Amino acid sequence: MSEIKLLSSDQATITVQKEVAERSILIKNMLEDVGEVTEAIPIPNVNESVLKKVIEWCEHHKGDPPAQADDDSDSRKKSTDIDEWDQKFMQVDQEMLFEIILAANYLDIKPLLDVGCKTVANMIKGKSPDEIRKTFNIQNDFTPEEEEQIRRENEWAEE
Amino acid sequence: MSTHKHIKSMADLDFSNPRACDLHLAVMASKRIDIFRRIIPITTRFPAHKDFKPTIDIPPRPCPSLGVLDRLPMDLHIAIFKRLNVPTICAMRQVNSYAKSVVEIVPAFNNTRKYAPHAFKAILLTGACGIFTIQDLFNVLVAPGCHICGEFAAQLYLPSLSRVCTNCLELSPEMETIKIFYAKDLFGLTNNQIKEMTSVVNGIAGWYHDYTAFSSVKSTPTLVSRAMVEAAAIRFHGSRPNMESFVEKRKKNTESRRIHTKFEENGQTRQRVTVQFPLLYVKRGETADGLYCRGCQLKHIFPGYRNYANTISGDGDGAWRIRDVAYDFAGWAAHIRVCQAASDLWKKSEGSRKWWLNLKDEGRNWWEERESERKDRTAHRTGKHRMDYPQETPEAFRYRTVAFLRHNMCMVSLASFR
Repeated sequence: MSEIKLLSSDQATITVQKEVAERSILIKNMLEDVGEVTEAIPIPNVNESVLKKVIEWCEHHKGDPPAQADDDSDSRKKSTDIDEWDQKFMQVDQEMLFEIILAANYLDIKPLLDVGCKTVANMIKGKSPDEIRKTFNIQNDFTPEEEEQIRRENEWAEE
Repeated sequence: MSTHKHIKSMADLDFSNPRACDLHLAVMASKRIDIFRRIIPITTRFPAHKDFKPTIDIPPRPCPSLGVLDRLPMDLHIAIFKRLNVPTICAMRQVNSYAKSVVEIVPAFNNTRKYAPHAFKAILLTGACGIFTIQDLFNVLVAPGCHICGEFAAQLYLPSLSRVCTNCLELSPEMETIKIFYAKDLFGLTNNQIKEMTSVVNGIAGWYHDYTAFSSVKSTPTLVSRAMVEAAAIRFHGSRPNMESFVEKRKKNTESRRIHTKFEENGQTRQRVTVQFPLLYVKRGETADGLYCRGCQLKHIFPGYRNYANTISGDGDGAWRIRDVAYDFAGWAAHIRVCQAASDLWKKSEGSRKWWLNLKDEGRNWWEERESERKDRTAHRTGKHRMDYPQETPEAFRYRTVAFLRHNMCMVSLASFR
């Protein structure tokens, strides 16, 4: 099993198995283009702690079957369900969670991005607008009348 | 011999010409209003097939932040929002003006709101589909065919968020829908467990049609799909045999016997969790609401009130099973070529076709001439009641009615004016 090196944005080098790193479509394509590389592959957008976290996820999921081409196509699957291990993996602070999502987006790891988005969606799920604002520290720029109007629109009180 | 004659009589059908096509629809198609009245009685003035247009105009203002979520780019906001369920995405829309504009460009939200306003409203009113996302709803909107038999279907079964045709809804054991307290007692789950693991629908009060008459239904039972609760119970009890033995024990238990010796699925539980749901052809941007053969409607007349129970539970002569089949346009066109009753109607209409087409043209002209007037009117309400037009002549009334029906994509028949 060959190994490759990744260079994070804060110049830390991390060695991973090639199979694990190839969960990332970005790295996989890069390796296909370049062939054998000995020096570290720079990942400029991701810092060390996040990269380690992402690699931890990739190691746990290295045996997974490849994701379907289009995650929107499977309609019968209950899409709010998250695997138990993933749930535990995602129990990090908000800052870290968003960094993981961004890294997954950058490295093109679709299943991880999926899990990340689901986790954020579950944080929002079932909350009232006020609670959502409190959770993410969002400021409200609606006037009371506008807010009332949108609320009524949502409840279909008038059409 | 008879089939040969029959084909000959239907030879002048022409589906490529839109004008002729309208005529075919008017003579041989009907929209079974009472079918749609059997299920959740949602009406909405929200104009289907128009772009979802919010009722307020927000004046331009500096773009507000989305707090911590600002760390992510907008495409990830969309990726997150499409994984929200219907009530939550509506709440998200209310958060601030940036969130509102992002929610409104999520394709799943925009399209379901635009093409399936009835289902959207029903989900909000019944609190259904808590475990399904807005993307799931959109996936069903574009998925053709009943999920059991694969035929064309124009209804949405809310507990499992799947498309069903009338026949499967009435007859399939998979569609069994029970009240939550039966389910709770029978499978040994708590209310909260059922609510977490399955989709619970609060029936809404209203007027429901039962093939014979409307009746006002005032109860608001909480309903669940039996199949879904069973699946949840299997997860809860460990395996299917465990679950089954538990249910057997429950049925013998003296405390719960009183409940379980009764017929569990009474009344219109299945219909009370079902809502009309068009099929969206994404590429064409068209929807199919379901067409019904008028020939079959007239041939298989209503069973009398006394026969009603026999027709449904004993399956009686099963007339409604033939009568209430919904077709998409292609299916309907294929059906009327083989349906004797439809061909009889077509033959009968021969004398009045021309009159009907002229009437329709005049109605359309009348409508188009007044286009600018309509735009000036600030209210979005188009005249619906005769008293809105106190001055008009009966002739004008007739033209306006045709135009109105046409505008709302209803089938117009000659009988409407007699």
